[in-house]
Amino acid sequence: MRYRWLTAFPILYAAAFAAVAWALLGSDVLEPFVRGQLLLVRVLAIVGCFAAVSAFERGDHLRTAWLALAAATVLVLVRDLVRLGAPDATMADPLGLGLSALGVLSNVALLTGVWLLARAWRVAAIDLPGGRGGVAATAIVAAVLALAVAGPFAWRHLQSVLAGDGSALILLVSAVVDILALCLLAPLFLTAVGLRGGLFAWPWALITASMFSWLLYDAAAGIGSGVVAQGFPLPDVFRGLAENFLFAAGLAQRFAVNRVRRSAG
Amino acid sequence: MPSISEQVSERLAPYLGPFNAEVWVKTVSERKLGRPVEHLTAADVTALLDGLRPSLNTFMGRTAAGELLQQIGREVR
Repeated sequence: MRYRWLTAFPILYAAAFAAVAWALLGSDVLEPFVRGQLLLVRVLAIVGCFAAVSAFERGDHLRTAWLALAAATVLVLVRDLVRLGAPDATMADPLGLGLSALGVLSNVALLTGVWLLARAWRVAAIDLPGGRGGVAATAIVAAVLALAVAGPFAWRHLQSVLAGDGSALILLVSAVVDILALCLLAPLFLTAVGLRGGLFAWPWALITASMFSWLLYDAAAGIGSGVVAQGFPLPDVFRGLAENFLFAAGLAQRFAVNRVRRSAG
Repeated sequence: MPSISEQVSERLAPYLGPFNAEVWVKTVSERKLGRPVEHLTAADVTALLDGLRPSLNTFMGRTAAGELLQQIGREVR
């Protein structure tokens, strides 16, 4: 029951956020509301990551993975907080460049964490469901989705860099890291499927949901915020979903490890 | 009485899922002990659990995996 609530929480939160944002459309309160909830979901994600870290010992493979995910979220929270104090910073000034660098570092840490999670099945020397064919097919689907969603950003930024705009390099790196991280959806998903019926499927399923939500975030950011209604913060709905699924995954990881220790101890 | 592999799989299933638990036990038996699961005896339990340890360490951490394997080692006959 506890795990079902963890799964429901990000969805209920996203629905509540969307409803309030809808009610606030056109109001001056909408922007501070969106900013406030952004900080809240970042903090929740950090709490979830450190809950998972605390379930493991130094040297455990998944401890390193969760530490990297925690670092990614801390870095992006710091960027958001600094940006609150300097909303006009642009890539032309050192502060703006520093903020972009924090964003890239956060993306690299996220990629590292997701990569470590995605290769857990290799470290454990187990087979993923579906055999090699199934793994390859799922990986191709994930790669196509990732390229379709984040590829256009990467292409646009690559053209800017080639045209001599050095400041677009950071955005290009960020877009490429996004694509790579989204490609790792396949092994995460298959690991969750392999563990189905067991407690340890929950953290993997929730991490997969988090990464899928980032894919939706990229798609929503690409199509602009005016699709649902002018000014409706659709990307923020999916960003909250992604961060809250990460929060839920971290807690699920800790609960699952604790359950083993309680039953076996 | 359930076989050795069935007893071990049953105890892993709540955590890894029934399908995965069975596959892991089968894989360790064939790859590390060099025989099919049907031929496992009580004398193989320690080696079987040692073979499962690296995979369990990865997914649950060394402490939880160690405690679970100890418990299984006590219960499986």
